[in-house]
Formats: sequence, C-alpha cells, structure tokens
Amino acid sequence: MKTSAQNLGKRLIHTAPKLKLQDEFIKNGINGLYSSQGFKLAWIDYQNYLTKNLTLLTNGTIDETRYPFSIAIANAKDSSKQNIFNIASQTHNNHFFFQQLISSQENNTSPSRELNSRIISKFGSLDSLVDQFVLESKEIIGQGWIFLIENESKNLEILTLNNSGTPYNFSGNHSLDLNGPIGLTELEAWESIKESTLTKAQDWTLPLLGISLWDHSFITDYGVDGRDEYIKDVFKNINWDVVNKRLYVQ
Amino acid sequence: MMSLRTRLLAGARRYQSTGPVVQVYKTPSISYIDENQKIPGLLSEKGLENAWYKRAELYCEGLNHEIARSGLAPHDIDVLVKEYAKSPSKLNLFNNASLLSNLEFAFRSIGEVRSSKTIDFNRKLDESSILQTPNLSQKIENLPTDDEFVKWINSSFGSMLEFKTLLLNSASAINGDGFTWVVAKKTKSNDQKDEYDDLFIMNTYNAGTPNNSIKFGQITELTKKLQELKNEHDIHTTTSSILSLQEARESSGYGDFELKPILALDVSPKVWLYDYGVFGKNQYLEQVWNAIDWDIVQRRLPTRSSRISDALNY
Amino acid sequence: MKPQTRAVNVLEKTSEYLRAGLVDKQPAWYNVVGQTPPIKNFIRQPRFEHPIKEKVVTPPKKGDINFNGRKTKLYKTSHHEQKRDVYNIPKLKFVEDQLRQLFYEQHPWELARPRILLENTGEDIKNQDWSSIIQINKPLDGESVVQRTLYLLNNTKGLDFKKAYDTARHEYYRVRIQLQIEEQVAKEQNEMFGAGYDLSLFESGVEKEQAVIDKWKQDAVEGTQLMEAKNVSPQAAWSGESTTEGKPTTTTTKN
Repeated sequence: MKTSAQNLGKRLIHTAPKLKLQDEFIKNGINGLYSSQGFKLAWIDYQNYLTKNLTLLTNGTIDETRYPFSIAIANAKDSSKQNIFNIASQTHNNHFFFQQLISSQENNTSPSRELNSRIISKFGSLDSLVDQFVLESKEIIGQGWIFLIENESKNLEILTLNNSGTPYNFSGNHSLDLNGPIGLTELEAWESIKESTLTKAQDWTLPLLGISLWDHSFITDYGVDGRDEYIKDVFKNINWDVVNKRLYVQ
Repeated sequence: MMSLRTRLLAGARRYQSTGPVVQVYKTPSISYIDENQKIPGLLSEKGLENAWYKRAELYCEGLNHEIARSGLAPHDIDVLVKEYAKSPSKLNLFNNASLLSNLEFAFRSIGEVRSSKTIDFNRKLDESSILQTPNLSQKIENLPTDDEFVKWINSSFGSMLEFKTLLLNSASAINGDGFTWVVAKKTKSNDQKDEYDDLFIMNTYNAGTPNNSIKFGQITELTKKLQELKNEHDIHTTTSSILSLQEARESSGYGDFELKPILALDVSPKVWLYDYGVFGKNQYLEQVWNAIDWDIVQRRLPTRSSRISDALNY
Repeated sequence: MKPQTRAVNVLEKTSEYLRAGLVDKQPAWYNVVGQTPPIKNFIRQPRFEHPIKEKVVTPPKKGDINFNGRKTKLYKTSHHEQKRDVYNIPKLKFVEDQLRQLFYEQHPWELARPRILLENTGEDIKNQDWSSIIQINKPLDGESVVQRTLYLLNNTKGLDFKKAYDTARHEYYRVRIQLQIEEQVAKEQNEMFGAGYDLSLFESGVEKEQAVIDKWKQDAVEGTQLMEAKNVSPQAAWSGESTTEGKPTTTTTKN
C-alpha cells in the first residue's frame, strides 16, 4: 500500500492511492455493492479526507514519511498520540477493505484451496462464515470494523473492532465496549490488555479479510438499518485473488 | 494470548426471534420534528429520517425484542437505564434504552435554526474545507435568553465564546458515534439542598450515559469479585483491609458528585453524513448550535448554588 | 604579505610586450581594460560614521561656514571619501525577522517545538497560499504566524501591523486549542474501548528516577555497613562485643 515512500531524504505528504479499477468504479460504482455516488463517498471522498488530515497531523514529524500502517503501529500505545493513531489506522483499514472488492457480476474468483480448507474446518462453509460475520457484527453498536484474522497459532478468527481500531496489535484493537455495563470477562480482558501492553507482549495477528462497518461505507446505498444486508453483499464482491495472497502459505 | 480475545457471554448480544413481539416501545413524538418532517436549515427530510426516525425505530425494535425475550416488565427508558447500568446480562436492553434516551434528549433540545447563513445541501463541502483558516468572529448568532443562565456559563467557562468553542471542539473530536453533553455538577456530601455548582462539558461514546452515579463503583466491585474468585483457589493470600489507591480515590473523589444533563449534541455520522458529506462535520456542528432551542434547555436547568454566585457576583 | 601587483599591472605588462614584439596581436580585452583601468590603491580609507545617526561625517565643503580652505580637515591624517559600493556591506533587514523575534519573545516555549530543516527544493513557498494559516506542506509553527501576518498586511485593507499580527496569532491559538482537545478526547475515547497504553513520559520518568533512588538506597545501606565495620576497634572485635548493641539503629525513610 503506497501512500508515501519511506524516504528520509525528502519531505512528503500522504495522498490517497488509486485502486486498480478506480475509474470504472467512479463511473458505475461496484456492481452489487455500491452505486457510483456511494463509492465516491466511501472511497474517493473519505480516503481523501483521511489522508489530508493525516498529512496535517504528521507534518514535520517522524511520521511524515511513514506508511499509515507504520504510523498506526508506532502510535497505538502512545496515549498522547491517539488522534494520529485513529486517522492512520482508519486510512490503512479503508484501503485494506477497498483493495479486496470487485464487481459481483464479473467475480469469478474463489478462495484458494488452503484458505477454503481452513474456512471449512473452522466455520463449516462459506455461507456459515457469512452468517457468523453478520452475527459478530452485532457487537459493534456504533462505528467499527470486522476482520477475519489469522492469529499466532495459525487459526482463523473473527475480530470486531470499534471505531478506528487496528487488527494488528491487541493494544489497538478496541474490541471491548466499556461504555455500558461491564462483565467479569470484559474486565479480565481489559486487565490483561493493560498488563500485556506494559510487558510489551508481541502480537502476531494478520488480517485476511475486512469489512468496514462505518456509516460512510453503507449508509448511502443500504440506509441506516441495512448493515446486515450490506455485509452479506460484500461477500459476493470479494476478490478472492487478493485475499488468497494475504494468507501466508509455506 | 487467547484470553485477550475472550468472547463475551454468548447470549448477551445476539438477537433471537421469539415469535410475534408486542410493540411496547414506540418512537417518541417530538412536536417540532413531527410537524415539519424536516428541520429547515439543519436536516433535510431524508436526513431527518436517517438521523431520527430510523434510529429511534431501530432502538425501539431492539427494546421490544429484549423485553419479550427476557420477560421483564417494561419501564420508562430512563428507569431501564438506571436499573441495568451495572447488569452485563442485560447489555442489549441497557444499550438500546440508553441510545434511545440520549437520542431523544439531543433531538428535544433543537428547534428552529437561528442563523443568517443558509446551507445548500446540494453543494456539500469539499477537501478545501480542511485547509480553511479558523473563523475568529466574536459574534455568536444563537444566544441563550436567560440572563442567569448566561452568568452561570460565564462563571463556569469564562465567556460565551469559550463555552461554544469547547462544546464544538469536544463534539468534533469524537471519532465515531457519541454525544457531547453540557452537565451541571453537584457535590453530594456538601449540602442537603438540591443545588448545583458548575457547568461542565463531557463526552459519551456509543451507549454511554452522562449520569455517572448509576455506574459508580462498578470497576471496584468487579475487581473485588475477580480477586475473590482468584483467592478461592489460593488459600494463602490474605485480603488487606487497607484500601488500594484506586479504592481510596473512588471513595473520596469520583463518587462524590452528581451530574445533571442539560444539553446534548449528537455527533454520529448517521445524522450528518447524508446532508453534509464527508467533510461537513464541523459545518453540521455549527448549524446544531444555531438550532439549539435555549428555552427548552433553560427549563432543564437546576437551581444554581447561591453561595458561589453571590460571592463572585456573576 | 606584500600587495599583489602583478594582476593589476597586466595592462602595462601587455603594452611592453606588444612594443617589444613578444605578443603579436592586441588581446580582445586590451581596449576595454585600457578605458577602465583597475584600481591600484588597495588601502581602504576609514569612513567616519556618526555612532547614533549612522551618517557618514564628511569635512565641510566650500560655502559652508566652517570651511577653512586647506585647513579644513577632521583629523591630522587626510580623509578621502570613498565611494566604493564594494565596501558598503548593507545590513539585511526583513520585516519577517522582526515578527519572528516578537513572536518567539512572546512565546518562548514555541522554540522547544522540534523542527525539520530539510527542504525538497527550497521553493515550498510557491505552493503555499497564505489566505489560511493551515498549509498542507508546512507544519503549523511560529513561521506560519509570521507568513500569515504578512499576507494579511499585504492583502487586507485598513489593517495595521498590530491587528494583522493579532489576527494571525489568534488563528494559531484556535487551531492549537482544537488539536489539544482532539488529543484529550481521542485518549479518553480509545480508553473507553479497551486501548492499552504504555507509560506516559511523566510516568516513565518517575520510574527511571525511582530506579536511581533504589540503587542509591542499596549503595547507602552497604556503605553504612562498611563504615560501621571500619569504626570497630580491634579490641571490641576480638572480645566478641557486638558493635550495634546499644547504638541507635540507622533508620531509613520509606519512599
């Protein structure tokens, strides 16, 4: 994902990358998922907004020449830089999401053999994966993300993030919601996150597939109450070639 | 590392259809909104539908499902919020009740837009708005009418402009769903009278409530429970009777005050994204300020503690 | 080192060579240099500047009351007024420098803000439109205030220096205030969703200080024990008397 080169000899600004089929998407939207207007709002406008704000926040600092991914990871645990982390993580996640989309009519891609076997062993079938995604997405009552990740024991898992969380490091996951009543499991999870952050525990999580649950991504075409339908439609528009490449197979 | 990704209690959040559901909760009716079906200058018709009607319906549906599923007696949503603020098993119920209560509070506070500028929703802001220089104009268009209220604001925040700037900056800084509140704070231990000292601005995120006293002590209680569960397995540990730093702080500081909300601003993208576009959040917040109905807000004001106002004479 | 005379005598040399026949053609520069010969006098004459008025003081001329013919001199040594611009080193004065000095005098802690001095072409200002204090290719800084002030001075009618500077300064404050609130709210919000934070700068500083104090305490205890051991008289040691009996024990305060 090249929004800025990691170059210490030049001053740079962050700009939105161009997707492979961007021109076509601007004209006709993503068939089966986005109208042209919806795509423009969710990608063109929103990514522009994110990269411009990221530039303004990182101007003149060490993060100026880093990729948004690196900025997010570097600032995830710094309590004074959470606004930079939010924008950087969101920039990366949004690109991650749009990178894997393709028009559903021309979609003749499918999960690779390795990925397919893992999905079936964990969830039973691709359809039940979709159902599980819809079910888990109910945990996010505001804005957020839902990712299919490969954790360090090489197992697939579904991870829900609130607002601009990042799937790469547990300190920046923001999976919990402590705004309402808190249970013992939540408290335990929170305590272990705080403890593990201080002991600098490593997290070897890699996301494979991500869906944006932010209003920007679905409100134009699906309305306020159409999130479940939107998640199901995303799966019809997944470019599995891109997702397959994300899975590391020896 | 599996403990870090502990899944929450399975039944807490999943919707399960249990047959026909009685429609106990219905969208609250707000006269100003229902009359016009749009808020001219603030939200278009479709925008208002997104911001208010659809969301209120969604939360009411959730509430009705939960009541039917759990078999609890339906109460007023504020009562539900107070009752279940510390019950993780009633998470869905609390969330829907809190969200609906907050949303209603926010939308009851607004009325007609009092501004000389009109906004054309067909010409949304573009990226150049990010690089716009801040507006230093000292003129504020929609001002409260009650002099006592203005005095209270001036003594709490310094001036009207500082109050407005802090309110809108706090709202603009929220990354996602949430509300920005103006609350009046009362120190509980000091007086028996129902008088409030200062005004403050606070944020709540997702389904949080500004009413701190209903949630007070939750973390310490749970930590104690957790400690007890751990000690069950370990007979050699003795629980200390000396309070930990956290407990000492909480018993003296955090729980000793009560907050009463006066005004709420809704910053969820569901409200402003349709009419103002991706770059229009700050423009929306300015318009919300212009649309605040200060009469309604002033009616919610509690009595101000007289000893401070008399002493300072402002 | 004696003055280098060979370069300035090049015209005379060339004339002699031409007369002697050592050089055939007249060089291209010959006539030009002949018309404007180089200066042979390398001695710079002092210019007397009035220390306050910055005026070059010259001896009085004819017509002046104080003119005294040949006796009109400033000092015993004769004074030649030099009109060589080469010796006039002008002071580079810019309005921006005054603004910068004013701004950093008023906001000394702005000097502590780290700056990157690297530039791509040095022509960043060509892409900067100072109708706003926020620029995409420049961090928000005291420099922004200075440039914005100048823009306001040049492009707004009826705005004097003080008002323009105040406007730019207040715009700067507004943006900084918003950024500060953003940082605080982001920290609070992310904490409400289960973020894990490292120790803040303050906390990690306290930790480091505490490590030094702990080490000092350890060293102090060992040192005290050593001192007490040295103070022991040999008699007492051989007789088996305990040195710490009856003596007040050293108390260390708990931190």
